[in-house]
Amino acid sequence: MFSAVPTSRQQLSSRGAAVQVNAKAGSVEYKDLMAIAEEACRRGEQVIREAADKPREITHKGAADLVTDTDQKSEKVVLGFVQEKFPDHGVLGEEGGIMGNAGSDYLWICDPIDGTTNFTHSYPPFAVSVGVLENGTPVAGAVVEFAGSQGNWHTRMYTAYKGGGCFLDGRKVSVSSEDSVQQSLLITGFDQVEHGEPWAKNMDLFKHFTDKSRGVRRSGAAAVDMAHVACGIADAYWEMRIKAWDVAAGTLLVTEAGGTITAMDGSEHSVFSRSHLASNGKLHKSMQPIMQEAIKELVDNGNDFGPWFIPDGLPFKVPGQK
Amino acid sequence: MFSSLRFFSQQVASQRQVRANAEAGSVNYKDLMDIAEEACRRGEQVIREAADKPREITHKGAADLVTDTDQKSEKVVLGFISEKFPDHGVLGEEGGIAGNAGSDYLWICDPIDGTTNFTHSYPPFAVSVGVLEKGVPVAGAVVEFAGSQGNWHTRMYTAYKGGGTYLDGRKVSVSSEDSVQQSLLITGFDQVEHGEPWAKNMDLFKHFTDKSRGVRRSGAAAVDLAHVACGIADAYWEMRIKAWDVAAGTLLVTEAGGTITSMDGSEHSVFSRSHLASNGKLHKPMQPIMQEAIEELVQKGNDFGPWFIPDGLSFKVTPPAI
Repeated sequence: MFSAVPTSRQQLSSRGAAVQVNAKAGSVEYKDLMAIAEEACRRGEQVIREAADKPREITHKGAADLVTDTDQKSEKVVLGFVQEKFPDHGVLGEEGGIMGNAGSDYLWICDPIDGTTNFTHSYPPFAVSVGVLENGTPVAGAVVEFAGSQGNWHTRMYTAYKGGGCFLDGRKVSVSSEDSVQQSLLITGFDQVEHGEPWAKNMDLFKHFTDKSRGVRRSGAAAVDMAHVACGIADAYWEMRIKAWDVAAGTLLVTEAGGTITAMDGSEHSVFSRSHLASNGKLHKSMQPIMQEAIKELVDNGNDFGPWFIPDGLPFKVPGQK
Repeated sequence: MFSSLRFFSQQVASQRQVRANAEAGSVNYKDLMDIAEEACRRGEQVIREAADKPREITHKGAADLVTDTDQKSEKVVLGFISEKFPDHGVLGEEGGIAGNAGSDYLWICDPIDGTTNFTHSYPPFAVSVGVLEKGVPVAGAVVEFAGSQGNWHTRMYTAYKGGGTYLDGRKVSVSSEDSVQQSLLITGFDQVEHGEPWAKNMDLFKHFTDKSRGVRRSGAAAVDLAHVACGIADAYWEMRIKAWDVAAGTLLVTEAGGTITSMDGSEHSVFSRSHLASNGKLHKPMQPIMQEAIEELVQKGNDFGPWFIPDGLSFKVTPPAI
């Protein structure tokens, strides 16, 4: 039974002590942060597994309630674990907002269930995502992706740390080398709640790139989409109006795998950006101008594309923050 | 190990019985399902080997390699069937019709459902095998790939007429969602033809994304039908797919309690030029919108009659008496 979880726990117990010492001394190794992010994801994974295998009648009845419960439970477990390891860091969750020491140099950002609608329907993929920023820059992260079916889930663990590369189940991965949009496989997503001008514009972009490429996938889980670009099975992904918890880990997966991530409009990128274009690097040149034009039209029409959902009390300035 | 040996000897015994029955002139639908499943497994093996080739080799001359795997998978799959039933007809996406086209039994195979996905190692992709008796689907199997290079997991969906639908041997059924607003939907787009039907499907994609919890686009039609059958998605529609895309999936859906019609309400067969597959309950709200879309296209001169019907069939492509 040498699954990943016991192993990482063993690693943690010997390394956990070392991490604590380093943290007190003021320096934290990015690789250690990655190990914590991974373990935190595993804890969230366990919560999701139990909920995802409940008999479907119970799942479906009052589905909204049950999903909220699982989101909240997963986040509590994930961020609780992080806070236990680093009581002096900040933690930000989709459900609970900012907690801990918001003024810390380190901010952990968690999406307890990436792809909530998918999870509600037992339709993979869905995931847990945990990323950590140092002075606003992603330095470590993990995304655990669910595949398979009820009673038979398989998970894939993507991890990365700054300067260390990107890994899928411990094996180093990199972005694809496709330089032609025509031969590329792309991914996008759509805002589930707001169906206004940005949403309609993304329908246009979806149509445009479906016409030009080998196809545009729509999977329903943003962190997973970024992980798929990172490991090279998709060539680029773009989306508007997603939040920091959707991209905190995925951003680093892509860049450490050799890819590029910018705001769609070319403005300075952070995890708080209101649009993202993540590519294998080579496709950025051909795709970004089209994205930029789309955002410009929306901004000209009065749509705000500045950074958003920035918690109060952060010690670093977010690029473009008013 | 013991249980798989027992399973194997049971399979051998049942195949002997199938051959005996076939010679006697009567074929058991459950036996046909077992053959379809075994045929899919053979195709699965071909795909596994190809999918685990180092990515550089996969990518170099990707068009050639994919064609090779499609052809190899089809040869193995239909070769196995022709060996079991030399007096039946077999129809493959790559090779067209072979064997005895005038037989009451026509086996239809998609050697790789989701070829673009396969090229990029981006799941899902699948092997699909269905068999018609006088034009009516009576047995079928779809084996779906999930996971990643070196770590593929497959899920086997099977069904036989009157016997239900199974996922990895466990009986499954469609969902019970009756509201479009709470539903999770799926569609696909023609990769080659980007004319009026394609543009109209962009409109339908936009319409239903607005009205539902979301519309997924996975890139593999047989898999999409399987997902409706096992209840993780509530409905799927697509235009201009072929008999091999739906021969097995059609039966998966109906045996799981769902409904499949043409989008325009005309009599349905696996040769229809459009399909709407739902959990049954969603047909009523969705079908009129689909019908209107097709009628507009037909008025503009687009043909939506059945297509890709091989010569020499013993049955007329007319509504099956289900």
